[in-house]
Amino acid sequence: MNTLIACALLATAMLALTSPITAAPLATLIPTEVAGWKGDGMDSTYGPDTLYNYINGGAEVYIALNFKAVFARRFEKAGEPELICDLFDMGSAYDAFGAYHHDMREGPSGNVGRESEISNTSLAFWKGPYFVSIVAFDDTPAAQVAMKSLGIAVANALPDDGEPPPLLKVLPEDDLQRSRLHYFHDHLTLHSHYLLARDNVLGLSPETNCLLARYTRTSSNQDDLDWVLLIVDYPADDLAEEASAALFRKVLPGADAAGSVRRSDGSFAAARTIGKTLLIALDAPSRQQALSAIADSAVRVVGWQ
Amino acid sequence: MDQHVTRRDFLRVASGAMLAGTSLMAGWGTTLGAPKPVVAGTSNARSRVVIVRDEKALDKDGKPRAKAMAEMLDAGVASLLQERDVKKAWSQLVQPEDIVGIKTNVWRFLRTPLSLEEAITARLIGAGVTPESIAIGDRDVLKNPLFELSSALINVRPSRTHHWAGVGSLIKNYVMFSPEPWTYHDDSCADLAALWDLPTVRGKTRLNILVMLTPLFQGKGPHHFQKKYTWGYNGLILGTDPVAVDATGVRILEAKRKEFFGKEQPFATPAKHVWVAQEKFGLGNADASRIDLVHVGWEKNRLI
Repeated sequence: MNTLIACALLATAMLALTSPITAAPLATLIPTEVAGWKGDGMDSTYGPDTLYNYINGGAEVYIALNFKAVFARRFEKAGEPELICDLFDMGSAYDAFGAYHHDMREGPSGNVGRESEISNTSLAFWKGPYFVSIVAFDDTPAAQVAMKSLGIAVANALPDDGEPPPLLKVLPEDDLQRSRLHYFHDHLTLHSHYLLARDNVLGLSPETNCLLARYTRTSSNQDDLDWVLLIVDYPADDLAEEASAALFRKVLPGADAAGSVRRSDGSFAAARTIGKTLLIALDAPSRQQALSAIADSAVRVVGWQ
Repeated sequence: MDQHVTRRDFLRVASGAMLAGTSLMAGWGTTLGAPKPVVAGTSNARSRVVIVRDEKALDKDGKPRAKAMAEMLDAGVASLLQERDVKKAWSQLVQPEDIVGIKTNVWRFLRTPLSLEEAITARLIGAGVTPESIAIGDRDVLKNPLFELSSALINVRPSRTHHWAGVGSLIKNYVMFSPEPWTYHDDSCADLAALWDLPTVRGKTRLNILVMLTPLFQGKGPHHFQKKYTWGYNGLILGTDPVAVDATGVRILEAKRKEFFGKEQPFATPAKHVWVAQEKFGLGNADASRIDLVHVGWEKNRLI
């Protein structure tokens, strides 16, 4: 009997740890009225099993980033466009960063939350474990004001700033395109950002943390392609070594002793493991560029690990 | 999202797909030619595609005008089938005994205009189809018995960029006929044309209409929608070949992206499924050289 009770308590505790945050706490983080816009009373909450019903086409992105729940509230005002505010609970600041940076962030900052981007009809930001998206259906001066006010109100209700993924510290800074950083875990998302291989050659899983960064070519007589640095942090050294071996065997055959190779399109690639971290440079304009990027990152990995 | 892989990836896939070469259309048997019903995707050497545009298609708030929708539909169908009598033209598409499913698209940010759905319904009734034999559906098509029983489908949806597929296409619009839509997401949804071989769909499509009134040429955020990435193109693209219509729509979106961004700006996700539909599935013609493009109506800023 005691065993049964213990199991029940343990199950309850586990459920509390793994269940999405319920709608009520998320709802309290979004105001019901802002700048004359009022919630339409049709609030909705979606979890990993139902997100497909809410987001057309992109649900996998958030689910792969350990999405817990999204609370959606629509705001209306007579004669003005509808606003939609989505509050995503991503479970961690790292994954909130990943959700925000899934898109390119080349627009101006909205000075809201940890990082933000604003346009006339949208405001997106992350703060703590939350990713927030506000969209206006049309562009009016009043809607812009309401959108910004709504964003500030939500950001102020979120208690913690949170820190971005520590993998960022590994990136060389020269020529880095900060608007085109992507943090993720899985192969499908990698595939949506960069086609390394159709198969999951790198053995990516929910346990791997990946950062893909783009760099501007400073000199090249090829086309205007940027070069790419992909960093994958595995749970253990042997997994990184296995992935590295598969990479050289299937994607980068013919690499030299330094781990660099000229590819069929004329670009250069290089890869190397440092402990449990695999560093891959792709589309570099020269062998030297690829190798120096790896070497520079490797020094930073040593410092970080 | 990646901007440059798309080209390489597309070219790689397109060439590989050519080697794969199975044709969905094998055994369909029906060929283009009045008065037999036109079946989308039959392997014609060339495909006729009509772009019809009206400067007054939208009202002052940017909403579709019902009268313009009906007129554009008529002009487009008449030109497509090269039959001035609209009723006769529709009689080439459907027969009175047909059960017709209108596969629409209700995405909240950019849906098929209700007035266009109504115009299509009116023309079907005008061709002798009974109102009880007409169904309009999107996400509920698998639950609607009329779609299961249907002998003909009209495929109509707005043009937009799409997170996984590059573009929300007419080819993709049939994903709701699959009980497992997400299984088509791999490799930029390259194999979406396989949908057209599902039993509820195969061989039924009589007309494809890509709504180009306010297309979305760039997507961003969870909902992949921002108003600033739409513009008033004021058009419809019609054809019996869904691939040809989609490819034409893609070219317009590409042209708009180039105009907006000031340089060639490939889709974040390649619209490769349109070309794979041609090369691997033989669903229709994506190559511009195999498309007879006809422009009807407003000429300004037509982009292609």
